[in-house]
Amino acid sequence: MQKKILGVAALALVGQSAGAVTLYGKANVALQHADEAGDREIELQSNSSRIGLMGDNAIAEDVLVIYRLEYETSVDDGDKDGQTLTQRNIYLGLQTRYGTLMGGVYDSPLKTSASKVDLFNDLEGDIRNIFAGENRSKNVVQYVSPKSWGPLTAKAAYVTKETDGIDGWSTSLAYDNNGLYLAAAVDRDIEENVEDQKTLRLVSSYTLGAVMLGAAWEKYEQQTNEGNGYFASLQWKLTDKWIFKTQYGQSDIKVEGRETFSIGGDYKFDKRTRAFVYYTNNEDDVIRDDNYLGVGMELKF
Amino acid sequence: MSNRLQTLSLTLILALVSIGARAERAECEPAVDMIESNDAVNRISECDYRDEGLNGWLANLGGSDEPRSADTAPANITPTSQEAMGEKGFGFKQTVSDPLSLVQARYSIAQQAAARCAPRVANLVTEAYKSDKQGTVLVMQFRCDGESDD
Repeated sequence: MQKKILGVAALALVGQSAGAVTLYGKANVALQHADEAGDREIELQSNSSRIGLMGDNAIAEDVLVIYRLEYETSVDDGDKDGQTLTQRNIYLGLQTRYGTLMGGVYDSPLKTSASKVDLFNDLEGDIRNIFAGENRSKNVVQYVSPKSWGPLTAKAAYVTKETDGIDGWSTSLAYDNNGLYLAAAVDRDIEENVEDQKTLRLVSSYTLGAVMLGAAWEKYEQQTNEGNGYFASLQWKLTDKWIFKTQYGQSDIKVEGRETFSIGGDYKFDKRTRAFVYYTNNEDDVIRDDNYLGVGMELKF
Repeated sequence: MSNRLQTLSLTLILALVSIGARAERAECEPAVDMIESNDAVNRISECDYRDEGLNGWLANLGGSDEPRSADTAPANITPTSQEAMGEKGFGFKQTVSDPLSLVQARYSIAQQAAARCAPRVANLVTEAYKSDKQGTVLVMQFRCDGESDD
């Protein structure tokens, strides 16, 4: 009991004494029926539930130190790779009028370029089923262009891969204005222990009223494998409460003839809380023919 | 899978027919969504989450007497600098980048001007706006009640 009180007191200090600290996160849990090539199970899934701290500290006029410390936790069984909390995006950076320079563990520019269009992100229908390049690299130094660039955001990350000695890089250029989002991103030697890896990704989305359309195309190469794929998504806000969404993708990047199809809906209780239902089919010409039907809930803060 | 493509296409057509029904109101999404966006590092200053959700609950835990963030100067705008205005007047300027920080900056400057003139009244002489690479610079100049140029 005493430990709990101390814990709450520590959190209270975070919330009070450091004004620019924001505690954020989400709990996302779903109950799904999984049919993986005939092997059927009822599963409780924690879909990348996380907790994090972010904030800034002004050290001079127009100079901010920014930080983000984010950890994943498993709502379903409390075990994430043998640990209670695992590291996600973590960085410390310096922000000036010329841009932001930061170091840490961070999603690559190529990965974040597609965050708008993947409507079943963190679920069984995640874009990672068909696309390569969903990397959160370690030992990254990244530059992000300043806000004064307006609708343009440029990113360049240098990955000092200490494991295989081959350093990699990832860059992206995105345009986001009046509902139109366009992005191009390139990775080189980001993946560990893979030689001559190169990934090119193009992403676009357009929001018009209640409808958002998304599309992406990717080409992937490495020493022993290459392929390309495409992806399309649609989100339709039927009312203030109900959202319909669906997406489809096909690629031979990971496995020959892989396809993913998802359809589902959200019911928004408020800005932070939603219930959702989904159906996903992932199949390919080699190993998979998986179906998932699930219902879940998400609380964001 | 071709049936699924047809389903997607049909839904797309239906959705496009309904376009224009509603416009999305611009507001801050939950912090976890903002920080996942492609330009997150440049958006941290757009929304103030210190009173939102769990942060608000923590800030008010234990009945803290500290003012809420809406009542204080925004933490992520350029620190206030003071500008001389004639011999007796005085002024302040702050760079703001969004509507919320403009409201907070005006309140903060008014508070400082009133404190400086107390117990007299701070009269607002000019309020001006100047475009800047970082956003908009708010300039407010005051004179304490009873002061004059000569």
